[in-house]
Amino acid sequence: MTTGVTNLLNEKQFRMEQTGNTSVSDLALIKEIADENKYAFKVLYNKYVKQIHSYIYKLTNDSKLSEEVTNDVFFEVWNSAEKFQGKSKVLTWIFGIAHNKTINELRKKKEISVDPEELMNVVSKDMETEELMMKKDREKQIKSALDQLSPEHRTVVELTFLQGLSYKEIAVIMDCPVNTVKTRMHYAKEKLKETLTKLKITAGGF
Amino acid sequence: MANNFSKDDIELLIPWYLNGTLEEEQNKKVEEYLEQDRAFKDEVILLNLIKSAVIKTDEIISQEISPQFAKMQESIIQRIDSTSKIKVDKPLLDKLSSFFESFRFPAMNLVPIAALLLIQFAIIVGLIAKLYFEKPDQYTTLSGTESVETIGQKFMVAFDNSATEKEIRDIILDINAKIISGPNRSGIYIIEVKDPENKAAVEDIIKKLRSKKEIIKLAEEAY
Repeated sequence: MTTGVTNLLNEKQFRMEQTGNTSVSDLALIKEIADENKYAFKVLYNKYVKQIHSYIYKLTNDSKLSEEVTNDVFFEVWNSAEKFQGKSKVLTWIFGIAHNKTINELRKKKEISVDPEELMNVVSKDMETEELMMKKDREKQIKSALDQLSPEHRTVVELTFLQGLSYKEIAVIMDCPVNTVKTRMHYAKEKLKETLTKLKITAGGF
Repeated sequence: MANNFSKDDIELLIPWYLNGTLEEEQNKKVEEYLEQDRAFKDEVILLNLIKSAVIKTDEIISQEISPQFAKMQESIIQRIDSTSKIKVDKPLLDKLSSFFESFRFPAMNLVPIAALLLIQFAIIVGLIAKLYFEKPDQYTTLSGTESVETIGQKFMVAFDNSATEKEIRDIILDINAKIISGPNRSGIYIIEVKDPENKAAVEDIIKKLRSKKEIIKLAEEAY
């Protein structure tokens, strides 16, 4: 990339920081990062760090680990930007890196799921109404149910409903066939159905 | 029932129907099926609940944790700075690999390879030729390199290292001889005396040469 384009990006980034306008495409950012433009890297980092960190945290349930892995992911983005071929969206690519690194960390830790008992915190009765307490309790139980899913199943659910990705994109991220994505979603849905039925949660429950 | 789509196929697509990422044709098929099967509408409701649960959980988590993104960014920039200072030269193999990959057509790789092989071959042939044709340990002698037609009696003579040129010349002239070859590696000259009269004359010459012990180490009739 020429100096002119870099300067243009710097100016745009400055405007973005001021107005929050994300007009520079992810592909342009990646190309700049491939040219070792740290400015562009910071822009991309700020744009997606929260999503990536949240995703990793849900799989690991460890705030320190999730911060480390998040930074590992973006470090990999910095180092591998020149290899990005544009066959998928940039975010899909980053999620793919995040997924791989998280699964590797979990394998090291041999964590599969969190004991739901640990997540059933007692809510303070001092300041809250019983109804609110029941709602929070339900929310925690649903969170617990999600935590009980394996990383593979949780990933499909998160990427579908939170990130709004297609099953084809998810297949790329998880490096598996599309039918595997569909069956994992089906399994996760059946497991969560049990919890929701037990809690008698309805559409108005949230 | 929707054409070519079983109930199971449609059921599996519902999550992506809900998040709006199905292709147009798939979307249409799902909607057709949903209109015809009441039980499927319950499935949509369930998945919507799950979707809400996921979103709600995400909100809970966001409230529970407060990662220091600014600090994290600082840390990663430091990491980038520390690794970028160490610029490692590409290994030779990578450079060679890049060189060959730069050729547009794979067949073009043969040109530099062929050139290298030719150079190697030329070097090897040159070395062999040098070894084969080079005369070992050639040196120029006092007698010169021209071949001399010889007709007289020949003698083998070796001079002492301390013998001077004048002394050698005087001896040669005294017996009316000339050096026709030598010295060889052993320091032996072949001198020729023109037409000695008889055998006794040959022996006299040998006696005379041997008498100069301080100058001549060896004097023998040569055959």
